Amino acid sequence: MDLDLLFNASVISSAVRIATPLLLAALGCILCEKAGITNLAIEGFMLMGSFISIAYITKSDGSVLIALLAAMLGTMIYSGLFGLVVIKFQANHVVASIAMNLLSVGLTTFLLQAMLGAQGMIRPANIQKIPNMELDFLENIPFIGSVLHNQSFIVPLAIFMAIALHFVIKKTVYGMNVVSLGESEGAARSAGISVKKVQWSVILLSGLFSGLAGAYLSSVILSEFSMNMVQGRGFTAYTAVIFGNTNAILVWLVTLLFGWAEAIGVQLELAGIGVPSSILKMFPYVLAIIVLIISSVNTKRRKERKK
Amino acid sequence: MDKGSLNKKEPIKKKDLMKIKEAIWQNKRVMDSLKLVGKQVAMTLVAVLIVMIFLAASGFSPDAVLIGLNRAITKDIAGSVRWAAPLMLAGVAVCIPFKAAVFNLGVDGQIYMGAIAASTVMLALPEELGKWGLLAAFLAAMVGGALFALIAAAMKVYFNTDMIVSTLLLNFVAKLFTEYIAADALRDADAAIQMNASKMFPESMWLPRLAYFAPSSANVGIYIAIAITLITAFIFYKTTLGYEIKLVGTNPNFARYGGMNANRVILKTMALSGAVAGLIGVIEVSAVQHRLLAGFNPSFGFDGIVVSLLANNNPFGVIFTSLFFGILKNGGSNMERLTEVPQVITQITMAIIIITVSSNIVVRKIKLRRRMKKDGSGSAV
Repeated sequence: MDLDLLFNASVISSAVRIATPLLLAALGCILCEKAGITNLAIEGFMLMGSFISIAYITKSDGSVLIALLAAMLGTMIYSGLFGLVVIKFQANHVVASIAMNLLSVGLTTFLLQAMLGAQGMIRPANIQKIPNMELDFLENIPFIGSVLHNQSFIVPLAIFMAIALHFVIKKTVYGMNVVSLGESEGAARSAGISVKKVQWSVILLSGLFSGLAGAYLSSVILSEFSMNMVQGRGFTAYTAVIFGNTNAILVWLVTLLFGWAEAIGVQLELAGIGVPSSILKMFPYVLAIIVLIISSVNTKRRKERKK
Repeated sequence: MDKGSLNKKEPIKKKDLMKIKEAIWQNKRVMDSLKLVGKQVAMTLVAVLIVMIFLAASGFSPDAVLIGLNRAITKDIAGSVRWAAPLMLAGVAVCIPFKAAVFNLGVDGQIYMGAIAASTVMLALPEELGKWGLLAAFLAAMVGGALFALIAAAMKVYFNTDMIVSTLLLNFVAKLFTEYIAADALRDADAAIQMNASKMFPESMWLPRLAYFAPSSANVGIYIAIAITLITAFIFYKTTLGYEIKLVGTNPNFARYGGMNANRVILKTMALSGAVAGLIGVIEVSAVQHRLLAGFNPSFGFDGIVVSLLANNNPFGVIFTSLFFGILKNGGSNMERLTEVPQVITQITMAIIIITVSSNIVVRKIKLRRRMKKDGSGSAV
């Protein structure tokens, strides 16, 4: 197999496109993980975000930009339920996440039927898409060209936010508070950090980011909503956070890796090499599992070295 | 009270009755479990109430829930039994590792793998084998499910990977693999309509349905499920493994001090859990679908988490909660048939039950902590 099939401009371009919602969801998850909250509910948040934006487009004049904002706000409010259960009622994080994911699938399917009158999926005809960025001068530069040219403005926005988050965590008081809370809740409390406030902030922010991720998936990439359309992307994002060791820049690179895995699956299917599509679709998940093993071996070794 | 007085069939005196009552009230274990049952029932009712309010708020008639549930326990009880069997097994599959504080979110994947193994065996063996072929399929399904569960367990034991993520990711792999097997490898080439399904299994190997409940697909699986649940209860309360599971789950440090190998307990519980999950796969394909259908599993694994959680990981409790969820699930589809309310409400109800019940667990934990402080001992978890 020639390498060009795996690394040509269209593969890299679609890898970046697929990686963006993963990265956005992962950003919120990084904050939660730093603050010691296992947030697997981003899967459900993403689904909610993708539903809200399409619902807004269907019910209004179809502006994608406002739909994105609506999705961010709506999902943030929705994530408050997770916060309530986890912070106020101190439920097990994983169990609460599973409940939120179940609830999101149920709620979006129900509202799709009850509010928009559609069974299974909806494709709003009045969608007014935001045109992709036409950066012709970048086209000839090998990597950056395919990363930024002919992409939605959300792609550079997400990358910028990843870098910004990296600095927020490393350099600001808020970031320090989040990190110290994750390291030791008792120490954070005695240092005068309001534990609950920080916990609420990271969960609401993860709702905000995941809402944008879901909205990008449904109304920018696909322009449709279908039942359970997130398909484990939230879990993949969580894997990326674990593998990237909650470092925003590393996490971005890992999401790119996952995006690339999915993109070459599509590419190979189009090229028709005779491998069934369900086997090709497995590739990103298998890659995520391998990546997970490698990262755990690394952390295990690091811990042993410390001893 | 001595045994003799009972044998003589003397009328029980009022004084004795009072004594018995007092003894029950003073027995902490009985009282705790009674309180727990009361709380779980109350929380479930709260969840159903929330759903009914939600329905009313979104313009549906809230008594649709009651209409559906009513039909599920009267006319259409067969359908409830049909759903209760896989839910019971799923609850058991979740509660075995849960008890050892191991999260197995990969029950769905193990169900798929069990079904694949069983289907392959049933299609490969000659038809004349009949029920022996079915037995072979059951064994294959248990082995298939257990081996798939062991992948995640081995990753945890040897590489210390996060079990939650690995089991979730393996679910997707198993689901896609089932699609491949059903639509490609075992595809029915002669079918008039091409769908993601294998050839039909030979009729002699089908798991019999219950004649009493005909024509519904309620099947012998419910007996198998009850038997497996009772065996699990036996393992939990009467064997060394059960003691190890309990200790590793509640106090891993003490377990290590006592010379127990936590890793081995993880491997054992996951293998058992996977084998039980595999049983769901073989029952679903051999009694309900009669072939390997790509989407045969409506995520029983996640439903199993709700079943086990509501039963507080107690196998005897699982019998009751799975019957309840069987009724709820069947009530949902009846509701859709009889009223305008869509079936997906069932899923919302389940999610809200998890939320209310898992919030509830904490109240107990706080109380336990308080009691621990009073006793001054750390072992009362």
